[in-house]
Amino acid sequence: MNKTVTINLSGIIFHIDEDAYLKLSSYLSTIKGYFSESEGRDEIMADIENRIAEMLSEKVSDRKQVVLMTDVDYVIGVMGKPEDFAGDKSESETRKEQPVYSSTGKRRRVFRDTDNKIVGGVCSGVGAYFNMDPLWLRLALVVAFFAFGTGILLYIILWIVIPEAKTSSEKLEMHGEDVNFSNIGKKVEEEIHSFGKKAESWGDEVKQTLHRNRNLGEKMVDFLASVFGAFFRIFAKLVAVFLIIIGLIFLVAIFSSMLGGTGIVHIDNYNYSINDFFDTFFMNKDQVFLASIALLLFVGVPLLMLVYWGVRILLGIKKGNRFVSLAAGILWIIGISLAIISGINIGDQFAEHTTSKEYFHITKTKCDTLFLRVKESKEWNNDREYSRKHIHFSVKKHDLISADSVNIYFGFPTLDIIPSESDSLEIVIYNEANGKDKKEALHFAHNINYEISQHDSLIEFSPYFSIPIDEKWRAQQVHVEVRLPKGKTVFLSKSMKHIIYDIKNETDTYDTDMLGRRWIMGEEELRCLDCKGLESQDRHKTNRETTPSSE
Amino acid sequence: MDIENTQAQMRKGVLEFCILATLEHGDAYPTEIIEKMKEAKLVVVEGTLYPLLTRLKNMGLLSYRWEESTSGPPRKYYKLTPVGKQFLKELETNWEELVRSVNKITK
Repeated sequence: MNKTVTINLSGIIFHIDEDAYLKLSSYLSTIKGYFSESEGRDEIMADIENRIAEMLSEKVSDRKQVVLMTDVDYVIGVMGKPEDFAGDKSESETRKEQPVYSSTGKRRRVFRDTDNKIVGGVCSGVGAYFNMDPLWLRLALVVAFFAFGTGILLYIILWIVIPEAKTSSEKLEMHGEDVNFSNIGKKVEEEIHSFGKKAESWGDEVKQTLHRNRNLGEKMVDFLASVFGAFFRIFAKLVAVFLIIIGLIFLVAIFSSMLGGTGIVHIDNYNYSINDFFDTFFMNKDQVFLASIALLLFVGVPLLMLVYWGVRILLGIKKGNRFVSLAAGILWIIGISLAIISGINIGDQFAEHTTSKEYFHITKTKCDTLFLRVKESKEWNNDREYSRKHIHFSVKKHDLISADSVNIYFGFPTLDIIPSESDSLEIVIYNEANGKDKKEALHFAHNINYEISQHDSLIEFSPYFSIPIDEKWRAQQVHVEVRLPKGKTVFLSKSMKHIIYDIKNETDTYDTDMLGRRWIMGEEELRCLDCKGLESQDRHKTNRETTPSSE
Repeated sequence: MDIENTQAQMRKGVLEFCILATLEHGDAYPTEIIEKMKEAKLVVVEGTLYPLLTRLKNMGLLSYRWEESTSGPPRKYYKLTPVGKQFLKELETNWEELVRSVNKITK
């Protein structure tokens, strides 16, 4: 018993034995390799197929319906062996050797080997492709399964991507000619080598017949195309590996964080996962769930597709599963829609902005000059110990956001110094927050905690304001106003660097240059008391600039 | 240089001339052409004829029409174009000259 294949040759249907079919199709593709596009390859091949169809239709009848191996051998005998085509080619003898660009042997392709399957035949198929015992692949998958389920994810993707070897020719291809990295490299080498040979014979040809330059050019293009093709294939495989790795890493990260297993950010001894982040934004669990699904689809689907394409490129699978792309597209659009809904949910929570005002009471000071500085704390000074324990959204080595088990700390508040309307020193704290309505925004503003302390004339500001750990984040911000009476002096400590914000002064000195100096409040803005060095530098500069024009 | 190769080269040179010559007496499809060639022991295998026919057609020496066949797919019937006829005439004179020259040298 033999399996038959149905083929269409010049519009006529033939039933042909599978082995005969393989021989005929490899014969045709070999002949095809001897002609170039410009010689009218397609037309010649059509003529040849036409003739073969004619001969085969003479060979079959109602009683003998199937084309056999002997028939194919007869056809090849009449039409001539591939070597005859090479020998009778009009231009030269150089092509007598096997043509380089035609595919003679069957290239190996990857299939799922369902004959030796345990689950879906993925391991046995991939094993056959890479010439290795599937046992090792299975072990590796089982190990990977315990790494956040990567193994099962990868297995499912491969199962979808790799087609099953159904026909015996596909099963043959599964064990076909090796295709791997070293092989591709070898192929390039061969191509370069044969290029060298060809170049020699071309050289002779050119000397003999100049008018064949056109052909030479074509061959060069052919050759370059195949070399670049080989390089491109290697490059594509490397990119594919990269895609798979990146895709899997991110997928695992997202999955595990979604499931709450591991945090993506580590704070103290507490793992801060995506879920926790969502908790700080959304009012209830439903919205968190919605946002989680949105993120999973919106980010997860493209990542899955990245892996899918990576595997396809790596294993050279051309025929895609149309359902996969369609499903991915639909899921992704659902993801976008959910993300938009979540975005609107969040947007609602930020609809209103409110500022609440709070006065810090200053007791009378003995000293005339007021010293302003940032409170020294463990968090502020000991960067190393601190950064080991907390999250690291930091600016200039100082953390912008940090947290402990009670509070979340935000940096930095902004501080301004303006003239007081009365005769007394006042410090006003503006707590700002957003909310879905004024009332809620006010609630969030009230829950901001900011610390200022006074030791006689020394006033210390905290570098952070804080909100309780279970509080939602609603763009909370703190602004401090120091209202200084006229004639009162203030000293800005170096530590104020991060919190002073655009303080008005007569000399328009930059904030950072204001540090470490004493300033006196004038009619509208501050005036420097000990900026002589700075001033003289400035004056020196302006003098040099103005001197030439005045003379 | 082996003898077979030389023979093949010589045969190849006159093959196009012979194809044109067979078509002088009337239109034919490739299998008919090949039969005549085989009678004259010129062509060994059929497949090699197709590239030549396509080339001659592309050069404008031949044209073809499709004709239905009782057995199998429709056939291409080839025909000499006026340019082809002119070309053939030139080749014939050249051929006679060539035969004369070769005879003169070999005899």
